Amino acid sequence: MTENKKENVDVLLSKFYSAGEVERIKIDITETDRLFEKFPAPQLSQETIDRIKLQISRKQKRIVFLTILIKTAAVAAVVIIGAVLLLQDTGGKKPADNYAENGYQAALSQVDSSIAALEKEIELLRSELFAVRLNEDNGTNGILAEQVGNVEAEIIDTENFFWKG
Amino acid sequence: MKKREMASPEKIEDIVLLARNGDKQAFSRLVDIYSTRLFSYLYRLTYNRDDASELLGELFLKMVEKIGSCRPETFEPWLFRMASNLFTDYLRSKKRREKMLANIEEQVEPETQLSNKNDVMADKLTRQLQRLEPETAEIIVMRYYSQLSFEEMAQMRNEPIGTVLSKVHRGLEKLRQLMEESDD
Repeated sequence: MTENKKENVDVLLSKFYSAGEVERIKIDITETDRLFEKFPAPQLSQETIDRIKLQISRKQKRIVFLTILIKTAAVAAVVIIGAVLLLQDTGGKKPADNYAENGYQAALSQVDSSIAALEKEIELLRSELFAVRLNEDNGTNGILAEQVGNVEAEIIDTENFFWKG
Repeated sequence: MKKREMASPEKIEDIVLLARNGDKQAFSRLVDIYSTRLFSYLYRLTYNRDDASELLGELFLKMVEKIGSCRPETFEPWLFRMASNLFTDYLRSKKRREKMLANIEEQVEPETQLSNKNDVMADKLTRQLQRLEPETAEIIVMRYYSQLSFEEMAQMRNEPIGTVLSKVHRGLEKLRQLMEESDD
């Protein structure tokens, strides 16, 4: 047993003990080794060894599964972080959102210009109506009244059209 | 027995490297090489075949789990340190269990009977080892079964080599004395 050690026991012991003590310790070591050989521990059954190997095999499978799971989760996390960083670079808006927003703004500006045109027309009609009313006291009531009626109808129509959109 | 089981360090390192890469056969080989020595080590300290078998299974599962953190050239001290830690945990839980059972008188009896039965079944050396302080018994059993040098044992236990030598020396002396005094 002692010869299996990878060190020189004599040299080691002599650093700490006297020559007499070294001899006594060496005898104790040899005697104890002899006792261990005289009273061997019971044999381990093959059944136990097989059971342990089976447990190891199961454990290895679990470790492989967990490793794959962790690697997948890590890759997913990297992809998500990359996507978030990319979105932050483009001002937090997706390209699709930008296209939608551009179309919406174009439609709004078109509606705005239509409203402006209608408002201009209403203003023109109002001034015409004002001029006609001024001429009513000049004795041309019949034709003027008809014209006034037509203009008012046109104003109502235009306003209705405007509010209907 | 020891010389036959002792594989060359280079070979063990190769097997450990394969095991670290998840090689099933390498793990199986490590079980074949170390199971007898480790079982004997655990049996001498627990004085119980079932407990020793259970701890052995637990130890090899820990080995599979943690082999990535082990350097192949220090595999043996690493493995026996894990065995030593497992035994320490076992001892603590056993003490807790005994303390708890001591408070429940009716449950103490079957436990005592079981313990006595184990004593009868154990050999003379195992019984005398049981009479030593657990730490002293552990260091003697470790020295024999691990085949580690005193220097490796000192490193493993985080103790100066002089302290380890002193504990081994006193332990062996006491064990020899107990064996001589024993009448069976």
